[in-house]
Amino acid sequence: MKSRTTPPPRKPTSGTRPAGPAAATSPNRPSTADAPPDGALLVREIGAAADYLRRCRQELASLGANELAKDRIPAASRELDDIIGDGAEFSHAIMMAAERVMNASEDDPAAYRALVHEAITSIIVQCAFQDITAQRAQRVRGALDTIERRLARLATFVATREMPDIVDFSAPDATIVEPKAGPAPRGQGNDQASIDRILAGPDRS
Amino acid sequence: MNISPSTPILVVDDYQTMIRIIRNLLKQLGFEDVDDATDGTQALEKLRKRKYGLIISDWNMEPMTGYELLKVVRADDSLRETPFIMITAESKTDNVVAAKKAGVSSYIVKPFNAQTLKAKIDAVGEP
Repeated sequence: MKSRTTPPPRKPTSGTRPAGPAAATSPNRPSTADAPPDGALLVREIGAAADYLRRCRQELASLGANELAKDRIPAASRELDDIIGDGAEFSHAIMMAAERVMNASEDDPAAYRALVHEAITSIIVQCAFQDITAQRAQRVRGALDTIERRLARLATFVATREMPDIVDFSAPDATIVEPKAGPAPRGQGNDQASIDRILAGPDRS
Repeated sequence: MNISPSTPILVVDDYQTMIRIIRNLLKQLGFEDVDDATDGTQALEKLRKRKYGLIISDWNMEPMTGYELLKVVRADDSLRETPFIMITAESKTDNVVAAKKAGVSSYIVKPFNAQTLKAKIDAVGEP
């Protein structure tokens, strides 16, 4: 039978400090006996708070709010407008070709055949809209991916929510979509005649 | 290089719809021997196995773009004379100038029509 040892003397309660926010949340909370004086602990907590605020500022800065507001979001908005415009334009052209066939006279079989051939060719060509609108949509998706990743990084840092399985923080923005690639905004870029002139012109250095 | 209805043509595009469009237009223009590839890498494999008389390529493809394919073709002694038409939505001057410097034979901006395709094929086929 173990003999009961004499219990250690109780630590005095006077002179110990009340637990502060840092002490309450820190896994390395020092024992009361090791606790630094009040002033030193306060300085440490203020330092930790300042460091947290500094990192918050860095995360907020990494959002690139100005770039998002001035460039990416308006560009994505323009792309959506162009997708709508392209869809309307190509649909109109396809409808026009179909109506030419519907309204054509069949009295002259050769002329009718030629008209149908021309209309089918026109419809085939207009189907290229899928390629063009898909490239525009990819750029919109790229902008949304960028915004999502930046917001998720911030949200995760401030611990309002966690999305590490959804968002790959390691991927830099530019690797998802090259925003300069693909069709130019409607009304910009060169038409076929301008391109022919560039190709026929002198070499540019 | 003379281009006739029997000239083998390689169409390179990552959109199957676009390949079908160009194939159908070529068929309507009388071209019978049309093959296709979905990016520059696959196109190069085909180009090194068979002699084509015309390459019609998109610009934006992965992993190898049409622009990179053009540069490889022009740097290859056995391929450098093959006419190369770029058909792309890239209509910015920088793109056109870059393609010109790389040796593109002709450049068609999407959307295009059958007349434009025919005119460009006729032009690159002129001696």
